[in-house]
Formats: sequence, C-alpha cells, structure tokens
Amino acid sequence: MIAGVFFVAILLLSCYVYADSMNRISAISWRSLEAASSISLDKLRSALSIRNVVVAANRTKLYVNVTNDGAVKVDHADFAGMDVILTYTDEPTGLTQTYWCYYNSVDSSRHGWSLNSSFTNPYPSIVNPLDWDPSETLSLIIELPVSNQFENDTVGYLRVVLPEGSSNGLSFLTGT
Amino acid sequence: MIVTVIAASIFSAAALQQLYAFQNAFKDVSSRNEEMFSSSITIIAETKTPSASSIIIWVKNTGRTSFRLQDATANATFWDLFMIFPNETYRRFNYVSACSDDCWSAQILNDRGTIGLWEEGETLEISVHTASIPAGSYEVRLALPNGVTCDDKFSLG
Repeated sequence: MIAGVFFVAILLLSCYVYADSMNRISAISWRSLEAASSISLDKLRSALSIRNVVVAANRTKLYVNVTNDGAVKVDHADFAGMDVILTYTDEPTGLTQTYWCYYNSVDSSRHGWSLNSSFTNPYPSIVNPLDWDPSETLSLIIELPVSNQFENDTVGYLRVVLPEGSSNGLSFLTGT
Repeated sequence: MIVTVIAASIFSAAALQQLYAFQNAFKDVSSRNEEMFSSSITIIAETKTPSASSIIIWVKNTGRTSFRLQDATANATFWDLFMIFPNETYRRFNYVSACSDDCWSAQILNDRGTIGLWEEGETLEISVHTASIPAGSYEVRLALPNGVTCDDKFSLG
C-alpha cells in the first residue's frame, strides 16, 4: 500500500510539473501573440494625411499641415519618433536630393522640422492638449540649412512617417 | 514492496528529467518566438548621395524590441544587408563601421533612449557604399540576428 501511495504521489508531482510547464509556455506564447497583434493593430489603426504644403517666400522653409486620420493618438513625447523626409532641388547646386529632417534641431547646417509655434498645436486641442489625437491637425515648419534654398519652379516631395510606420506623401511646387 | 518503490522512483526520476528538459526547450523556443513576434522593422525611404558613391536607406524600428548594431560579446555585427541591382546582380554587403567601399555603415538619427541602442520609433540611416549606382530598379533586404527581415523595392535615377 505504501508503494502505491508513493507511486501516486510521484504521478501527481509529475502532473503538476507538466501542468506548470504548459501554463508557463502558454503565457509566453500568449505574450508573443499579443505583442505581434498589438504592433500590427497599431500600424493598421494609425494613418495621417498631409493637407497642404506651402513654400515660404524666401524659399528656405515649408509650412505643412498634417492631420491624424487614424484611431491612435501620437503622444507628444513620441513626436521625435516621427520621420519627415524631404526631396527637393537645391538652388545653388541644382541637385535633386532626399533628406531626413531632424526634429527640433538647433544645428542650422542640417534639415530640421518643428511644430509651428504661431498656431495652437495640435489643433483643435480639446482633449490631451499636448498629444496629437485622431482628427487633430499639426502645423509643422520644415527648415532648410542656411546655405540651401528651393530652386524656383520645381517639384518637391514630402513624406511624413508616424512612429508606428504609417506614412503619407505629397508633391508640392516651389512656385515662381 | 521495496522493488515497487525503487521501480516507481526510477520511473518518476526519468519522467521528471524528460519533463524538465522538454519544459526548458519549449521555454527557450517560446522566448525566441516572443522576441521575434515583438520585433518589426520598416524601410521608409531610400536615396543616393549627390556624389553617387552611396545609397542611403532609412529604416524604422516599428516593433517593441531594441537592437544593438554591434554584438558586445563577439564584437561583430550579425546583421545582413542584401541588394539586387538593376543589372540583376545580387550582392551581400558587409558592415564596416568606418566603411568606404563595398560595405555599409549605419547611424541612429533620433537616438532618444539609450545611446547606441536602436529602440522603438527610432530611425536608422544605412549608407551602402558602392563603386557604381546605375539608374534603375533596386531591391533591398535587411535581416537582423533574430531572423526579422524587411525589404523594399525602389528606383534611383
């Protein structure tokens, strides 16, 4: 009888270890799938559109309005995780080149972008005044380095990418 | 009775050992899957430099996993960069931190968190240095050590 009890106890212990293993494995697998679906969902639910691009009179700046068309807000701390990529023809060199613009850069020798402080940003800001909520619009200023200028009467291209990877692009004319 | 107890002990010890081995193997595989599932990278744009000596590729970390370009232990880079050129030439480029020809180098442009760690939302600028950049269609594929890849087709004039 003692042997029987001992045998059953060992079997129960084995069952417990097996169940515990399965529980841990399921938890890890569930976390994996949750992470994967959350990344995909965030990307699917985020969208933006560039409403308009205006070239400044001195052709060294762009004024851009971008609307959050998705269902995911962009936290203001994540603005630096957005990408602004600008393609244009430079007047002194005549070269058409693509540049990645730095956020809030103080270095005037490189391309930079920042929020336009002349406007309430984002607009309207009824909820989460600092964050870019769905349907709100951000006003951006893109500045060229001090030595650069848009060549007259050429076409440029602007692409804005959200931290999740969704993007939108728009062509613009530099005017005459 | 003693024989039964000994037999039960031997059987249980063997079974538990196998169970633990199975558990560890499965945990290892699950952890790798977790890292892979939470990794995502996206190529957002490509261009070439005015001097036409390198192709610039911007890649964004759109996942939850952070990556280090240089493996601290091995002091090497286990990232792979492949490209198909317009003449259908398939090439693999090696990472060289001070690259000048036939290799690639990279820098994190908006390094907000831990310096040198490519974290969520950060963009990596990859410069592929090559002797000639003919006009036409290209394909690029970047593969990370954990098996996550991203690819893109683009054209250069």
